Amino acid sequence: MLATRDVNKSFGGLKALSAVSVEIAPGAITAIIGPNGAGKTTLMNAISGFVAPDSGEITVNGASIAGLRPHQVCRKGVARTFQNLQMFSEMTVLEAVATGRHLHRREPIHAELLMLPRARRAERAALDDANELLDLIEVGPDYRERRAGDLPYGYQRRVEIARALATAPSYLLLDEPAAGLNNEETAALGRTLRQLAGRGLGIALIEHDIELVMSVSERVFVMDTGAVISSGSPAEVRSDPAVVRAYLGDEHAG
Amino acid sequence: MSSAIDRRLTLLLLVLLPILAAITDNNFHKSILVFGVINAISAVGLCLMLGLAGQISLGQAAFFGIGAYVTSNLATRAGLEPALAIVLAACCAMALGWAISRPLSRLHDHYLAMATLAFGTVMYIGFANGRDWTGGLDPGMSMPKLTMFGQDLSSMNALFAVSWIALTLSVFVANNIAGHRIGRTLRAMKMSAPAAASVGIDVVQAKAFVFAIGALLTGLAGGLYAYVARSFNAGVFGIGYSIELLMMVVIGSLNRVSGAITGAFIITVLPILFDRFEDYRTLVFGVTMVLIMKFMPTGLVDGLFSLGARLLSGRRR
Amino acid sequence: MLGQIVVSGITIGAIYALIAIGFTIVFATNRLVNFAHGEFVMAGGMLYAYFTGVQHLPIAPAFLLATVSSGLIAWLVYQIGLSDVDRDNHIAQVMITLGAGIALKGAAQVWLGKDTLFPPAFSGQAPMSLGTLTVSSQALWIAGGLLTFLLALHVLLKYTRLGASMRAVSINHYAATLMGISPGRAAAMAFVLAGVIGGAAGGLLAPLASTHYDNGIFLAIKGFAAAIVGGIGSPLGAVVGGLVLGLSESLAAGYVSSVYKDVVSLALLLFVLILRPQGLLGRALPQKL
Repeated sequence: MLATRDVNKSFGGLKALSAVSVEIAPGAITAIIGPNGAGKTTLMNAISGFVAPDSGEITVNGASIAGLRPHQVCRKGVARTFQNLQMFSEMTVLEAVATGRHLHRREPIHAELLMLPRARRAERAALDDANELLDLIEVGPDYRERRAGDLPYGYQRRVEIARALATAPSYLLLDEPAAGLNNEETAALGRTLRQLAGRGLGIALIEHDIELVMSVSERVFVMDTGAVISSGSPAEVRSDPAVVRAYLGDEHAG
Repeated sequence: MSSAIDRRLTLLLLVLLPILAAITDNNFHKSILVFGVINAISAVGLCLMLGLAGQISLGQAAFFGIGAYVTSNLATRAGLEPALAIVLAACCAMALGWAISRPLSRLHDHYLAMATLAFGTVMYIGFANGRDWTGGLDPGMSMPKLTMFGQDLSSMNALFAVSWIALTLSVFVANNIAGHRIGRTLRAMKMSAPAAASVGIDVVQAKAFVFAIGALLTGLAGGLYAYVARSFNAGVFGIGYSIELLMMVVIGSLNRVSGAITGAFIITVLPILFDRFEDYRTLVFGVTMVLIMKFMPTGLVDGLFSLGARLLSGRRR
Repeated sequence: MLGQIVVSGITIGAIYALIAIGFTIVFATNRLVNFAHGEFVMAGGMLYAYFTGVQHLPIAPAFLLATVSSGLIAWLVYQIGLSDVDRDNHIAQVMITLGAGIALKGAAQVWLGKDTLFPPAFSGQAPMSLGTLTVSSQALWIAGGLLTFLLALHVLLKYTRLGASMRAVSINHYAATLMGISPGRAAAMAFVLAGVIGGAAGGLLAPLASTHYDNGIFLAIKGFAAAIVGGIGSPLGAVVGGLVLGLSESLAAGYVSSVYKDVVSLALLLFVLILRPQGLLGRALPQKL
């Protein structure tokens, strides 16, 4: 279980997170939704170590990860994607995904500097792993030697997910992965997410695409102005007056 | 960075050099070649730092100086075997590079450039004033001949051979770094530090690594320089050398080892050819640097490369 | 003795402040560190020496001409080198400004010669007495120059349209373009101002410390150190930084050793960059990785 408990974060006078407690269960898809500015990305940044919480707990399977730096959080099994795509644009797609295999490489430095057979084998393995992931995420072989930054937007999003998956995480945080995707691509994304969850991966999904959220998530947390205002199954949350109020304003509630 | 074409070109250059040395019978010209090889080693180091990892260092002269002065002190005061002295000196430079990168790791681009410039200047002041250890600006340092296990290697040919072997080893290691995991790590850090961290890359450690390697190679070059020049003073290790190194990489190629080597030779050899216009050298260098950065930002050699590639593919159609 | 040290510290500190202001204006408007700035200062000094020494112009027009020329040189550097470079391409900006600085140094070497020049002080060599202290008249000109430029800058930034557009661009470049402000003009003007103020600093300093085609980068490092220590982006920070640096150097030279006085500035610079990059007066910058 990846959990946060009573996490608070302020930026100057702005309270971005107020006593936020969420749980991301393994093998399931947990959505985090809410109007813009609700603090969803800040929460993701706090969990993944890009922002240090002022107070509260963040734990992975009981062990605290609050305050760790991003690369350390990754090594604890939590991977993420970015809302505004942080691609390794100048690399080929294959290389970009292969960077995710970095932390699993254990050859000594001299083996790499001299490119001893051991290092060559590990290189091959990393590239093979990258190819496998790109198969899974449905990015075809003709894209893989291309410059990552040249790919169509939807494909870049998928490459970013593949790169995160390459780190062999237990938990995957996705920040608006469907943004800019058409219906077909979104449906494919949903299928892939269900597949990944089926393999035991715990997925946290920040999304504005309500249809996607409703169709794939087991559990939904709704945030507004830094706090969690509702949680439960997609159906429960949908009919919660507090949620309707947050999105649509007072007249439409209950 | 390390593509098949680059590797082949590098190989070509490495093979060409001994041929050039063999057909040159003027000792002075031969020494220029040797200095070119030495500068190429430094340039490869900076190429890794700047081209691969995006780390601007304007303080490489400091490592060159450490390499030279530690070598000379170990050789003259401790009577160490020259090869050992050079290796130890390179390791000292590497340690310094590693150490200096950690406090600077939060700095980027402009600030890093200024910080490394300041660091280089502090070291230069140390070199110029630490006359007990360095001889300062006057009288400078004097070196014995290069020997290896008793063999006299002080002839220009021998010095060329030793330097060339060092360059070949440096290029071998640099290519191994650039084309595989470590190279990807450094490039990932350059392209998007947040994304690199999100896949488990310790950016601070990666920067320390590339600084260490850049310093190691530059220190190695410095140690060789000490034996080739035989006598030198602190003036060699000032800002001028750091900026010259930068020009070598800019003119040659930010991204390709072969370009860095080419750039090193252009910067080392050209001024001698245009000896009469020595006063114009600075002006020409400055203007060239601006023009190249504006129109061929990945380096002249690299730019000519892409131009050639485009012309070729155009012709094929 | 202490008094004398303080006087010389404030004098050189004022020069550092003037150099630092140039860095700060350009950084605030263009988000770049101009590695050619030291050469603007050098140009001011060398041209002042040239106009008085070779062209035999009187002091005032020579100084004015030198200062304006530096402004023009700065404008050229911006137009030729930087105007069409991507604002986010920092490496290119560093290299281009570095190259421009080297080119300017080379130009000075060719056209103004390699000799160290000693142009005339503005109101003669006779030092003045302030109580027990001896102050050179040039030092008073330097202080006056600093105050004048600060005032002029304040008026420009606060009360003119150009100043307002420069401030807008420095706060939010993108929003400024949406408001119809031409960032190119603001950026070019920032360079011109840096050139003028830097050139004036060079001209003011030259009678005291001599001028030489090669002294650009050294002055640049000191000026940059002053800007960083005080807090880059704020002209007041430049002044504070300059004075702090000047006094520290002077004290170090007086009580420790004049050889290592330069190390003081460099060490301060590194210290501040490593520990508190926003400087004394700056606000904490967002934490990058």
